[in-house]
Amino acid sequence: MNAKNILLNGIVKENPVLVLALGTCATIAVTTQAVNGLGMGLATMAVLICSNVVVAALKDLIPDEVHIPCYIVIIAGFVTIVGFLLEAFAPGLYDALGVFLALIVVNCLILGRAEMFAAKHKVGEAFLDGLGMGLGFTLALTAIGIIRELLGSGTVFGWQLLPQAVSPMSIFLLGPGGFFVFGCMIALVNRINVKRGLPLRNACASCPKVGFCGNAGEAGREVESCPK
Amino acid sequence: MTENKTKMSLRAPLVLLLICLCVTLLLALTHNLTAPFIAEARERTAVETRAGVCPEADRFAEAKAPAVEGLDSVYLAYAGDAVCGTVFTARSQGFGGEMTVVCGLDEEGRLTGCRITRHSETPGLGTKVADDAYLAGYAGAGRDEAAAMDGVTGATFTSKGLKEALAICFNAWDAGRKEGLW
Repeated sequence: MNAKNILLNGIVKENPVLVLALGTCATIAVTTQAVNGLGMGLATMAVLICSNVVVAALKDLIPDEVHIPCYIVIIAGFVTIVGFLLEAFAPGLYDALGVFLALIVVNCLILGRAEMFAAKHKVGEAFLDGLGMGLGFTLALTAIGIIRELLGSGTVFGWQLLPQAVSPMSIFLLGPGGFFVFGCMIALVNRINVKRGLPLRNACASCPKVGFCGNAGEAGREVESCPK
Repeated sequence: MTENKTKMSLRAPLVLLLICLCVTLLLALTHNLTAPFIAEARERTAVETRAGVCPEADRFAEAKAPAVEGLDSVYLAYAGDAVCGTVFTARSQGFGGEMTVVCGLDEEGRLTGCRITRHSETPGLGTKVADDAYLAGYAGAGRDEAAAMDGVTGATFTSKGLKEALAICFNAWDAGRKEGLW
C-alpha cells in the first residue's frame, strides 16, 4: 500500500468507528458535545501515532510471548503522558474527558492497529496508518458529536442553533440516543461504500483473533474464507 | 535445544522489564516537567471560581475551616483590607455521585453566589442544576430561603445534593461566627 492509500484507508474505507466498530465505548460516552468528540479524537490520535511508531520501531526486539504486555505498557505510558500534558496545558478539555482519557488505553483501536499493522510494517508506514486512523476516528467522533449536540442541546460547539422556544431531545445526550445516531451513521457509510464497490465488511481488522490467525490480511478479504 | 529454550525464556521477561523501565523513566520525566503547570492550572481555576462566587473581593486567603462534616475548605474574601465575605467549598451526594459546591457568603450569612465545580449528574437533567441561570436564583438567599428554593424538575436527587451542600456551608458559617473566625 502506498502512502496515500494507507492514510486514506483509515479515514474512509476502514474508518475505525463506522466500519471497524472499534472504540465504541469512548465514542458513545464522549460525543454528547461536538468539542469533546473533537478533543477525544485528537488525544486518541496522538496516542495512536506514538504507539504505532514505537511498536513498529521495536517490532524485531519484542519476543512473541510477551508482545501483548509490552504493547500495553507502551500504550498506557503514552496515554498517561497525554493526560499529564492535557492537565497542564488544556485543563478544560482534561476535565471534559474525565475518566475516558484513561480509558484510551483499552480503546481496541490502539491495540488493534499495533497488532494488525504496526507490528508488520515499517515505522513510516505505521506513522501514516496512525495518522489516518486517528483522523478517521476524530472525524467520526466530531460528526456524531455535532449531531448529538444539535439534537440533544440545540447547540453546536456551544453556538445556539435551535431557537430557544424549541425544546431539544435530551435522549440524544444519553446512551440510547448515542447508539441510535451511531447506527444511522454506520448505515450511511455502508451505503456509500457499497455504491463505490467496496466490500461491506472488512472483517479481519476488527476480529479478536487477528493476532493469531495465519490468514489475517488487509482490507478486502473475503468473509467466506475466514476460518473462524 | 535446552540452551535455546533457556535463551528464549530469559529474553522475553528481560525485554518486558526493559520496556517497563524506559516507560517509567519517561513518565517520571513528564510528570516532573508538567507538575508546576498542573498546579498552576488548578490554582487558576480555583481562584476564578472564588472570584465568581464573591464578585466584590479582590483577593482571597485561606482560613481555618471549622470542623463541619463535608466541608473542604474556607477562604476569606478581602475587598482592600476589610473582609467582605467568606467562600466555602463543600461536598455532598448527588444522583450520580459526589458533587462539589463552592459558595460565597457575605457578612450577614447570605449567599453572594454559588457554583458547582464537580459533579456526575445526568446530562440534560441533573446538569441543569449547574447552570448559571438556575444558580443565579440563589443570590441573596439566607439559610431558610435557600432550603425552600425550587429544585430542578426531574432532578430531585441532584437538587437535594445541592441544598445539602449549601446547608453544610451555612452550618460552617454559623460555626465560624461562633468561634469568632469572621
